[in-house]
Amino acid sequence: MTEQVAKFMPPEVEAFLGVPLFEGITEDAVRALALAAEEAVYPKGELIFREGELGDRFCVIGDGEVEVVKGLGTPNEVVLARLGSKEFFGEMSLIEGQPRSASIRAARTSIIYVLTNQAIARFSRFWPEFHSTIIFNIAAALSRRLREIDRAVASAGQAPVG
Amino acid sequence: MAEMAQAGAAPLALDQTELFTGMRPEVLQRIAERMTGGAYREGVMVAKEGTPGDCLFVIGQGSVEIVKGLGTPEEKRLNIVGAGGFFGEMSLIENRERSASVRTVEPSIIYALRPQDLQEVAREEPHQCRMILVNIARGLSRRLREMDELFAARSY
Repeated sequence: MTEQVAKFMPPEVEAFLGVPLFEGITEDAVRALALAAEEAVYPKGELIFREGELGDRFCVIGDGEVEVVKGLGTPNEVVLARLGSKEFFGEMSLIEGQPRSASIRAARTSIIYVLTNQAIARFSRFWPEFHSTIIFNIAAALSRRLREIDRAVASAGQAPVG
Repeated sequence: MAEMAQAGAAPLALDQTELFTGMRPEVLQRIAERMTGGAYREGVMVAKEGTPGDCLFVIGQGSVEIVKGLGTPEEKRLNIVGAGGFFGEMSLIENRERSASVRTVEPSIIYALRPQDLQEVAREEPHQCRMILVNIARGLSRRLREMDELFAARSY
């Protein structure tokens, strides 16, 4: 890439480099993915996703922090996790094609990069092997979270099944 | 063997299992030739928490329980996986030790799949083998969704 092209690149390109989700993908492909993303800014407290809605996109956090909330607005509201810069959310709907399992709320003013399912599908046609890499990285992240919650549930002395 | 007979239905064909959903039969046949299978009695440990995991397992018949702290006072059953399901994928994906032990709850037929079983087929049929990865991610996502529900329900 020439210096001129590098300068022309929008800020999301820089934001996407160094995101663990894209580990194992060439810089060129990460840049292409960044170009397919749309930037959105959410003020503190604003809802990004609502639990139960159909999901057709997933998001990478540029600069910001979000809360993963279950039962938002109900007496059972609980914050499951906090996610920061270079982390991602919305991947479960992407993988499963199911409604959102939790709401996402901006914990502070946050710059979010949105990738629609169509953008991901298009990327997968051009770079099928790197699409696999992303799915693998998502699976690894899901597995880590599952390992943590399994441990938490087991040590809390709860018996979820049976 | 009497126990096996009581288990009822014949073992599932691999194309009826969650791990291989959406794959072409001829590709699956090549993978099946490399996999090893075994019949287990009730109460047999198939995978042990804390040990390295070099394969994942597909249940053709029967069912298993996923248990943390097996044999300790803190023993806790996390899940039950039945015929057509799979387990042991977390160690492979994360390249870490087994996060829990797995024990049969009835006579079961279980197939083991090692990454090297897929190598040759993956070179020739990358798209087909990618579906295994998608199916693994889907299974992890579903379980995480269930655990999140459970965790949230008990956290208030």
